[in-house]
Amino acid sequence: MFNILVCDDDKEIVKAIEIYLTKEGYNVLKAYNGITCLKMLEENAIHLVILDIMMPYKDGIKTLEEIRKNHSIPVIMLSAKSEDEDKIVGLNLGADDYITKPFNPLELIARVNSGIRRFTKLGAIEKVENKNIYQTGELIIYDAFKKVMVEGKEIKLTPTEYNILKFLTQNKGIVYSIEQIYENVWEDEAFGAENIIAVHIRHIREKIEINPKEPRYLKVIWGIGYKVENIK
Amino acid sequence: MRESKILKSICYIMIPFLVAILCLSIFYEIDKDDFADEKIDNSTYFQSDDFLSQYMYILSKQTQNLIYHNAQYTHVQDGEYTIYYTNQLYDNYPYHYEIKDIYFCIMYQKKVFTNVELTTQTDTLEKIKQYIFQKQNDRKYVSFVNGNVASNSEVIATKAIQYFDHFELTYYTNEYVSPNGTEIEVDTNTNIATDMNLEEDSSVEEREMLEETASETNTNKNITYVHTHITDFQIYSSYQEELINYVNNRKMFFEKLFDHLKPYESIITYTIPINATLLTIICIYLIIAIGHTKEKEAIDLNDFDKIPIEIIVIGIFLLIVILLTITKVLIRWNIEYYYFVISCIIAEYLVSYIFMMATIVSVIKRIKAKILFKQSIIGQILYWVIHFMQKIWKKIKNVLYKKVEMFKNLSQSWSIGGKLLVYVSSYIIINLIFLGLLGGVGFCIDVGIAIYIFYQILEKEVYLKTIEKHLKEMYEGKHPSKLVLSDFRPEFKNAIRYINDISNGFDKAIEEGIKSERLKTELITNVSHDIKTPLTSIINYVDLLKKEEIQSEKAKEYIEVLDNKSQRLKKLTEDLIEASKASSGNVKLEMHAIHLKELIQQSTGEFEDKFQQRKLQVITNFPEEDICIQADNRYMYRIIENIFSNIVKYALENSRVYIDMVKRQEKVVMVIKNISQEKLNITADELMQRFVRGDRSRTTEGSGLGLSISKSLTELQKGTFDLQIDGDLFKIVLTFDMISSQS
Repeated sequence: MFNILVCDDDKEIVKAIEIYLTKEGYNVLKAYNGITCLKMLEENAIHLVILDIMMPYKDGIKTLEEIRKNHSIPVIMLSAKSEDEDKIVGLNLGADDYITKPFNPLELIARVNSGIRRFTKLGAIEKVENKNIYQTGELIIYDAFKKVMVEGKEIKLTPTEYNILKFLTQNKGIVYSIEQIYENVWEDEAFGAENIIAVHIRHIREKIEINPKEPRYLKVIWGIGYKVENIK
Repeated sequence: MRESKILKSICYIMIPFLVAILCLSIFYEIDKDDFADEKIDNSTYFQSDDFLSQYMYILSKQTQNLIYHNAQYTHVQDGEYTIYYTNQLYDNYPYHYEIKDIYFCIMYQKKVFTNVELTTQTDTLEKIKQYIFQKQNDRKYVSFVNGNVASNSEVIATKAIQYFDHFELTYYTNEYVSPNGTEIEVDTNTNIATDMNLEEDSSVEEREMLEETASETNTNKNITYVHTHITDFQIYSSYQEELINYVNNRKMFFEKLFDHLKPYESIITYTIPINATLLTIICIYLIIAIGHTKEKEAIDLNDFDKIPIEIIVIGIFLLIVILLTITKVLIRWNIEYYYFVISCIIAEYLVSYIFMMATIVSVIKRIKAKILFKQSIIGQILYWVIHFMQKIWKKIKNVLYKKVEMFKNLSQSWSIGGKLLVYVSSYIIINLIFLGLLGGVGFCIDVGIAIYIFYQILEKEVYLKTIEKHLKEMYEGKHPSKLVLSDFRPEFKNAIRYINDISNGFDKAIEEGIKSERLKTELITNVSHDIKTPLTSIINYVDLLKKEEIQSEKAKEYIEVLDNKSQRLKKLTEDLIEASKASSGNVKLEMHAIHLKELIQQSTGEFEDKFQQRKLQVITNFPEEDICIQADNRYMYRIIENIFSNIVKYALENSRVYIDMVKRQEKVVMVIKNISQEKLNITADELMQRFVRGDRSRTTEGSGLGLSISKSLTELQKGTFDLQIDGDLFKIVLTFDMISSQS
């Protein structure tokens, strides 16, 4: 049983989140402002915090700063502020994830799961030094078995999709244009229907990402190309 | 002390006395030597040039008397000679001394003139000569015959020739008819002239002239000029070397005055310094005190002090001159009446003193009040001239300084260059005509006029260009700095004012526009945030509802509607924020080099499934080479995403979508065309506006903000976004500046 602290001044939202998370088998603790949040964090063994930004008495940002003084537990920020700057501030202050309101409940659950997994299995994940295994964050490709695991779940990909993902994961952190991907994956000169690659990549994203529009692993650099993020 | 009227009055009264005493004292001191030491040594005087010139002057004067006035004198006939006797020797004698006992006998043609008394002893020429020479022993005698000098005085014998030019006389013969016509008076000169006719030594010219004169003796009027020479005269003279004092009334006056002063001689020596000191003190006191009164702090000025100083000075000067003339005349006529002269002088002196003092006092007052220059005519004129010059200089300086800048701009303008050429050539032609007609003067006038006209024309051109430039900048939406009124000529004043007013209005409107736009963005953002929180609950609970095991089919249907609409609302709020930010420019751009072809490929990849659902076929037509632009890639994708979403929503099913990319000079033009499903009963402009959608009924989903956001974002990235509707053809034209693909 993992204890999850949900902190938001909107009681209905907290309630809704509680329902979802309880269904997933988490134990949910509720706080309606930053101060109670910090208090409860001291009194209970919490594994993950979902924190709203705009709250009375102590806002989410300040609360986050307080939390990070003593705790390394994952914190997911939850806010109506959707601007990039707000996300950057939150993430830089030590938030592990950032979800904008109104959120998709399934996405929230997926992110909570991801956070818990990373937190609890941190360092426990076997670092396989096998050259047939490619890994970034929790995306692991077992080339010998043509198997792709994302956050412990196996993902089914078509052979082309698999080849593209393998190529990008092998060269994680590097941006490849459609043409380069085509040449490397097909090992042929690129001509004509290059947007096949774009379509494939979208499909891959839809399969491996929690929210394909805000991908964590396979990122689109518009007008330049694609890359697999290098996550330690 | 300064204010004391009594003291000043005393001073004013004392001044004339002191000045008078001082003048007299100085006169006495200076002239006392002259009056004391008068005697001239006889022997030396008769050896001097002074004497000689005097003596010769007397003789020459008498020759003139002989020529002009002989008829007035008593005369005796001695054979063919006529002897005239006179007792008047000195006439307007200019010297201080007389030579005592001087006799002369002058012969000119057949006439003799002498100052010897007519007696039986002296009634013939020979007797007169003897009479003159009889006192030979104690007298000096002299004779001039045919230019030869004979004398027992060495000085005359050697030096007389120097004074012969005294005898070079030109006289005229004159005869006229008297008004009643009965009596004809013929000047004796005419007779002489006729006599001279016979003389052999007369020059031919003279003789002709005289003949002419003679023949017309009896006519009404005739004037002939005759020239005489020393050789025309025979002069016999004798004198005694002894002087008698020449005394006139004027001299007598001064001598009398001198005699009056003599008793005070011992005092006079002291009066000069005492007087001078006193006068100085009084003058200094007056200079300090004048103008200060008990009544007023400021300098006391009366009406007299307000008359321009030149008028006063000239007036007083004229007055004094008139006074002087009057007294001078009075004195001359009555010089022998000593006391009358004295009183005249005193009267004149006092009157002059009053006027002069008044002037001086006024001048001092003016200086003190610092209005001397201002009240004077010259001052006024000078002030005006200086002021005018300053104004002109300032203007020239100003104009020159500004013109240099303006002309710099001007020189780039060909149209003005052309005009200038026309002006210059026409000027040259006119100038040649002028030069031909008037010569140098014409040229000068012409150059002056030309320079003036050129300047006028150029200046006007400059002004117009400046105004045009300014208006152009305003037209282009820039904010040029205000036109400065003083930079222009007065006739542009109104135009400048209107332009500045308009410009002010623009600035104000723009400022307010920006302000209200910002407020709107803030409002929209805040409201959207506030909407989002309850919306979260709605979405979440709808989702929870969906998961409940609801038996009623209707309830399920309702929940589905709620789900759809809440999602729609979510999208709408997000778009709203984006649209307001994009249109107000409140967006942080991170510019990169973007490969446009890659972007389109990626985007079509993203939309592949949606296009396929609507059976839309995308046909791309790209140039071979890479096309690079400078943009923020996330926003570039938003632009394309919105356009593609639009196509997916509104394009006719089973139709084709064309994406063309063309290089045009330094720009890349991307054209995206599709066929609209609905009839487009709306203009492109209307379509571009926020919240307007192709279907007026708004049945389809979408916020209606997509194209507006795209346009704003395009413009933020220095591109252009153009929407064209041609029947059912829906066309979007995007233009961006290209950059080299290497970067």
